[in-house]
Amino acid sequence: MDAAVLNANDVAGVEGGPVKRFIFTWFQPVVLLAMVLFWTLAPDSIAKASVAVGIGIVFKLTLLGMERISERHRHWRLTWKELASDLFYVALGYTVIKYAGKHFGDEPAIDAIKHYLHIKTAWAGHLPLLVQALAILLIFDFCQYWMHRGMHNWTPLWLTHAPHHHITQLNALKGSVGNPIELFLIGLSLDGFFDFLPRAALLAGGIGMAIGAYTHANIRFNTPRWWSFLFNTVEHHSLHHSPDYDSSRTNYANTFIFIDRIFGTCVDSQSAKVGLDDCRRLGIREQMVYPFRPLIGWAKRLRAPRLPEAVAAE
Amino acid sequence: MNWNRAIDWIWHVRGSVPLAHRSAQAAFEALAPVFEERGTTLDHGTDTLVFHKDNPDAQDRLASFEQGVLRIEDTPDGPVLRYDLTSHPLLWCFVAPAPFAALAFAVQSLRIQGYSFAGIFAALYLAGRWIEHRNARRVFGERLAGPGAIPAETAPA
Repeated sequence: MDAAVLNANDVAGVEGGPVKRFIFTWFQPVVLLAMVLFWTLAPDSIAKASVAVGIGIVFKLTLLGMERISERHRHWRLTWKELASDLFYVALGYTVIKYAGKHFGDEPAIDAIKHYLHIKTAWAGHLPLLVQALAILLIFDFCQYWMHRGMHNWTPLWLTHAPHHHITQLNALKGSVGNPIELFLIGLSLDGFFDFLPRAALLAGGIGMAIGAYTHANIRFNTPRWWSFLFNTVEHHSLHHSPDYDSSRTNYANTFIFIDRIFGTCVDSQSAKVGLDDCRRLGIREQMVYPFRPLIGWAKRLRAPRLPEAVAAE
Repeated sequence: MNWNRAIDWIWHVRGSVPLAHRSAQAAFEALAPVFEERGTTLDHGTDTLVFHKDNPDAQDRLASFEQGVLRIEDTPDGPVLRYDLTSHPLLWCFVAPAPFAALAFAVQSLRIQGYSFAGIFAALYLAGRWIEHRNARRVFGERLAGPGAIPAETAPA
């Protein structure tokens, strides 16, 4: 493995006074508990999608602030240019990709299949709310695990995912950076086959945010061991982003790292160096055209004047 | 009227740093480490330095600028370094509110998101102008304030 890849036990914890160490030890579990309580107990007048979006934005801003208080790596520090670039991808996610997912994603396809095959799953909405939410998350993460693993093993899918691996630092908004085709594909799920309650979807979103939002963040936590055993962390995900080829083929799950443990792809380690090949970042234009590189190359070869030697050889 | 000159403040950052009686050669030598970054190429003149950056690394302190012209000029208060830096990220950030506002106007279901991001990019542009201006001044100022300045009494006329 690459020299930048560290053993999990060799890593220093949060530096600073007792208050700071206390906050950065318990922040993650407390936020998770708060999300479960809020989306379970909040009245219907408050438990709305718009409130979820607002919580998500405030939470991301909080994480960006926390990156300055308990920084993981100096060379991952957010610059204005990186923030502007990251926000462009976040904006794409909230607008164009969301629109595409709603009209051309799993929802309309699953609705059509259910209608055609007369599948009725109203019983799913009668399960306890927390069970419904965990089912949504597990189904989503299971789908994402295999889509993600597929992206690392099949060239057409890799071409959509490789741009995301060209990020050279991890920050709270970097999870949104990537080619829109990949972001569309990785968002596909099968939970639409079950008629879970809308409140369960909101609860699932809250839990998913409280677990998954840290995986790209430049924040040093004293993460509890039980948390790292169950959930994906920035340690796991930094290893996945390592330029070392073998290391990058680990830790595929978005939320539940135990899925990787089940399928033998989990490695409990981390990397300070992230990127692909020679660790050059890709600009927005390069990110957009990356999946089409083979097609562009093929078209260029087709249009290029043929050398006399090549013609003679034929 | 030169329209380019009238609007190029949108993607240019300009300023000056006093040279503390350094010679042009000493000033460019002091600045040399700033440009020891991957993807950076330099063109030297007698009292001018032009840099170009091709896909700079994220932590390059001048990563927001693809090109810059640094010129030593004499002023009544002594020699100064004048810089004129070109930033495509600033330009795109200035332009970005327009497509998101258009999206909000065209697609009813994306109204809130469209207008929100139009506002965010407008604010980000203003923040970027201030941050990158301060950053450039700090990067050049730190290098030129370091050891190596020629004492005033021995400075060349």
